[in-house]
Amino acid sequence: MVTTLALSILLFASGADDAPALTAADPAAVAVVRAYERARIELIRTITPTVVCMFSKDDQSGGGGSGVIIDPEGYGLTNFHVVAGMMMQREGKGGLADHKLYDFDVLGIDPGGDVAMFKLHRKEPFVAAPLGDSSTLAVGDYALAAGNPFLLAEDYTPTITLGIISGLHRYQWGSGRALRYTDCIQVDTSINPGNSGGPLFDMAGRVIGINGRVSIEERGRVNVGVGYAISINQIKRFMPTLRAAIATKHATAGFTVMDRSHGAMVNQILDDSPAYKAGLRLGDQIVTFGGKTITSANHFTSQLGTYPGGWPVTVTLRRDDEKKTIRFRLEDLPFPDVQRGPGGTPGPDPYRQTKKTRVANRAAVSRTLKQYELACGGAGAFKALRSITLTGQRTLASRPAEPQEVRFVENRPEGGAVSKGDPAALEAEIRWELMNTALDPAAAGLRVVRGDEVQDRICVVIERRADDVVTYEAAFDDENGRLLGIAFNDVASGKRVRYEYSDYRRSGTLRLPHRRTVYLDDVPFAEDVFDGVTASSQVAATQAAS
Amino acid sequence: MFLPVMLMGADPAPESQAMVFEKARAAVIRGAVASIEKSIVTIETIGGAQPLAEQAGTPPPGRGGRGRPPGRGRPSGPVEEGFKLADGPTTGVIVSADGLILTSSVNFARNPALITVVLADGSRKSARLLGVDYIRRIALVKIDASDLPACEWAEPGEVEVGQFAIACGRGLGGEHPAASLGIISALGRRNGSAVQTDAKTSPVNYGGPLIDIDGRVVGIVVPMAGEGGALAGAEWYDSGIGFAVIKPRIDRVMPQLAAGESFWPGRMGVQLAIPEASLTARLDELFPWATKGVKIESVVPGSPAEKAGLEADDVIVALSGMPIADRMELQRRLSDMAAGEKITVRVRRTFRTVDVDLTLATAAEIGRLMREADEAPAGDEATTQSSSD
Amino acid sequence: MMGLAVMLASVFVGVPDDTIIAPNTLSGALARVSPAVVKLYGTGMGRAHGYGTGVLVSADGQILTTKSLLSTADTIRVVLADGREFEGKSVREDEYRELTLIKIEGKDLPFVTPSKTDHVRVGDAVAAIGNWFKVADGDEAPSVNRGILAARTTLNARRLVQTVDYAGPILVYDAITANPGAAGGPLLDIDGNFIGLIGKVVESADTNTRLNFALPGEELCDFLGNKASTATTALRIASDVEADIGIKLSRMGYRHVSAYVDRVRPGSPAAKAGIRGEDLIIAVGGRRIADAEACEEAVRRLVPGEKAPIVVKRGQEFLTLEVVPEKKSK
Repeated sequence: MVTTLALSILLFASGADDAPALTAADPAAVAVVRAYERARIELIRTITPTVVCMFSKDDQSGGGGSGVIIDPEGYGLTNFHVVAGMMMQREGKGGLADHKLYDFDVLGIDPGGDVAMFKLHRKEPFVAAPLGDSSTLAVGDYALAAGNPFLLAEDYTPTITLGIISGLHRYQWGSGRALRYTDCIQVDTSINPGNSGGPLFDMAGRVIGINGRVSIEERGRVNVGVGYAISINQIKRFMPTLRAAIATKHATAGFTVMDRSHGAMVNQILDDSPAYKAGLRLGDQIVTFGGKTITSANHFTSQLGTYPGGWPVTVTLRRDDEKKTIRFRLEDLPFPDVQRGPGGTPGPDPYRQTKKTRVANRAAVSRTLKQYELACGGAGAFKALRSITLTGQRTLASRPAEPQEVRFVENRPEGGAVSKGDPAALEAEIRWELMNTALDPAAAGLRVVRGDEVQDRICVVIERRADDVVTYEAAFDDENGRLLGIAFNDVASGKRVRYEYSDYRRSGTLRLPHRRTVYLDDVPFAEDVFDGVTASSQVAATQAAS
Repeated sequence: MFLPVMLMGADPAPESQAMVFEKARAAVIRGAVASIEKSIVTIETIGGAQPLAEQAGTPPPGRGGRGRPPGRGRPSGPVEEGFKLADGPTTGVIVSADGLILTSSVNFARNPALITVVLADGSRKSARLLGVDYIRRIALVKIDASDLPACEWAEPGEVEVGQFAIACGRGLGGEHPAASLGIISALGRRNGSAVQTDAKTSPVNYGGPLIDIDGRVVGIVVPMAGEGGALAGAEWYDSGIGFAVIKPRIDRVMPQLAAGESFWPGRMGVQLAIPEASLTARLDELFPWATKGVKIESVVPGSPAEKAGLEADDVIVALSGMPIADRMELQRRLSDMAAGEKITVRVRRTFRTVDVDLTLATAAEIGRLMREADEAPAGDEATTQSSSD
Repeated sequence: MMGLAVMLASVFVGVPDDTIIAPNTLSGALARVSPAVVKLYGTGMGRAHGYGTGVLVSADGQILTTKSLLSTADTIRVVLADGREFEGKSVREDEYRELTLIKIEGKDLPFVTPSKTDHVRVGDAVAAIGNWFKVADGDEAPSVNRGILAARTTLNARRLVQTVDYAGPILVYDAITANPGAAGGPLLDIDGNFIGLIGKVVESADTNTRLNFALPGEELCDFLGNKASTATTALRIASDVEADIGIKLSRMGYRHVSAYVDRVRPGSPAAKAGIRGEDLIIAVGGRRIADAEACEEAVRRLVPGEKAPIVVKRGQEFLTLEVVPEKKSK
């Protein structure tokens, strides 16, 4: 009872002071604040090694910006405008909190959205920052910025500033088609020249944005409480190509909209656009676009700006009183003209392919396949693998009520080119080739061609090309490395065959998909549901697949 | 009821936990200010001339992301208004019981005829300016008193990035000092003389204390380093980039300041060559050892550099033992060195390495020598030659 | 006491949740007030921007905002938080406080009422909502900046070269709101009380820096209740009268000269207060003055008949003398 009383007196006493004089805080309050302070200090300690002070190689006295490492191999994110002046050699130097400078290569660029990826070089792995989810942010959430404003970091330890999310889904005009900030995050965290390209962290130490712009008025280029960061969820769609040093275009919809009763209505549409072919018409009300309910024409434009060209989107539309759902691919918006060298002189073509970009692409392929192996069971998981046996049921789309028992036995092929056999055999060969290539990535003619969205997951798509003919494409989950799909053209039927994999589950030491869906020209053909997927280091006795 | 939930050990709903933190934080801020309040003074100045207005559009060091070196002489982007010092009260911190008061040099940019100090109890005293450190932007003032409450300093080695930082100032008048809350953004800035904070710093609190949650002084708030004269950097107020000079650095100059001596930025008297961008990149790859350093374009006649025997085409590779990789590093190192200080300059001359000793001069002296030699100042070791310090 | 402190500390440190490191304590406050924040659009001219922020203070559409070129336009476009548009007109203005009441035709609109501010102290968290830089359009939410109450003081400010008349109480905070479009937006405390209205972009005469401030809730309540300000400066402005204390300052010929008293008129208020020749005037009416020109201006702005303190330096001493100014005779 006495304890209760003491507690109540303490808790109510802290708030009761109505004298104008400033008085000392009671120790309980100080303890609470110290605990928060300590937690924040520790958080900052963990994120500090991931922040990069970016410089151009030849003139460190010149411009500079910031970046953040997002992969232990040294891959990092920054603004395109930070590396725009480095496109001659595509090189720069990055300073880390260990006070050392490291070389980096500029990989893929996204000038439309002001994003670029770089790769730092050193023998030991780097400390990487995890990525957050910018769709869960709320105004008022705290956000930390880290970077090198005004190049103050003499020893490359970053400047850390703290503020809150001031606004979400903001739009900032770019210059022409370049450097547009769509659906971006607004913060009152102090961001100044030099912070560009640096990370915006949530209070769990996850990257939720890349800082790049501020609003300024009469006071000049100094922060006045309004900064903008590109959302990490937008950047995630561009990462598969940026990592492979592919310059990435933004998207155009093939139609425009205007405001109509708290929403957006199609007021212009090209009749050869994928949207039209999918069924969109003049006058349709866009209800949702990419899963987001559209509240205005501005909102639509902002959302559109977050997609790379070619990205698939699902749109629900309202026509008269009916709702319809369509899915189509966005088209490419041409690259902005950003050929600029030092002092505004015409510079090298930033979109050209070079030996460096080809090497980076191959490195991205290696990384994806390594990740695939890790996803399936860890490093070396494929090494001992000799056979996979799949048992379950196959249901044909034409006979949905008649599932058939199936059993597939696959033995690891010895090698050689993937044959032009029947689709089923081809699919198995492709899967095995991918597993084999994971062991020796240098071997096959694989390269990253684009990013894509498969089963609502952002994927990196790798293609296999032989004699200038595309043999197949494989889509891997860009975050966890799982193989989510394979696609190729069937010579015999002339149809595009696509397999999608899901329901990854443990079987023995491996984690393999237990569901496989087959599409012919995007029409569902069959679905396999496996109750038993066995991987073995022994060669299995084969039986004819039914 | 709130209490039984607490006693039973269950966590209260997160929202009320958060509100407890908010109230606690506000109380702690008040408590910290209460603790330092008696050591904060208001400094009033009367008379004196307005210093030369800062060159409009002077950029801060580094331009961020556009690949253009600073100080090309032409401002770009919106033209910033030159900052004009106002007449309002400024802030100081009592550092000794017998009346030594630290403040910022910017508060004396007008060279006032009269300085008065108002203590926390409202009493007013005449004050005299002892010494000014124009490099670290601090000044020492003295009043005749005894038993004054000197401030308590935080342990420099214990300050951490991310801890709360409260900047206190008397610039708005009123009963209590104005408080601005931020965090410590970085340690060891400006050649190790200052901590950096994102608490809003401005003429409201220049010269005042940056404190921790216990009310101990982490540093004295000064304007951001601009380039040039007394008011340099003051226009970058409230930007979320603020500096506070730390005690170890102040202790190094305290004896001289107390004895009435001042520190001005030191200059060698050389004009530096601006490297050709692409050329250096190629050379850097082929001969990395050969391209570090900064080349001297010309030496001002009669300057310390000339007297020491430095020549055009010499490449500066170290200052007093500190290696110099490029122009930015040279300017940074030099910015912490005072006129009258003796330094050793190591240069690479053709294939030899030469060490020379020289005593730095003030910018004013170098300017005078240059005028005498009829040279037009351009592209030199500081981006603006200002004589107002 | 210490045991309790440890217990409270452990409750927080033990939970490995990002909300604990820095909880978003604004969501409740924002949810309460945001529906009542409106975006205003009108015509601008020169440096004056044609957009701003306002707050709905009644269900039938009374909107509080700052008085500006925008609010004096014939029609003002008002956009509610949910994106609905209305045409508004200014119905009442307060010259001294620079406030305007705008009316739109509506009903059952979300609104908030200004709150008293005596509970708000230095160090308390505050949040400012406004459409600075007109980043938000239609139903997009205006921006939110957060800070602490830095000081409670009175306004002494300029807009460019023009002195701002209002010299009453203000809340000063360290969140940046001195930006175009912010004025007229609400200042909230952590509980979501509407404690102030963001002021216009001005420079403090004390520091030559932009002031981030709000007019306190009490002034807003008085304006809404149609109570004219009783502030002495307001009265002086209203009556257009200048004060005199009967001193002449020495002039030496250059522009900025310290305020040394040259002569005191016998029988004048200054003489009665004890001011003497060669006194150096340091402060007038509680405000430090920089030079002779500032001193003369400060004296003119005193209220005849009202006691005002004058601080002088005489030799090594500082004296505070009470003077009762009289009306300046033409």
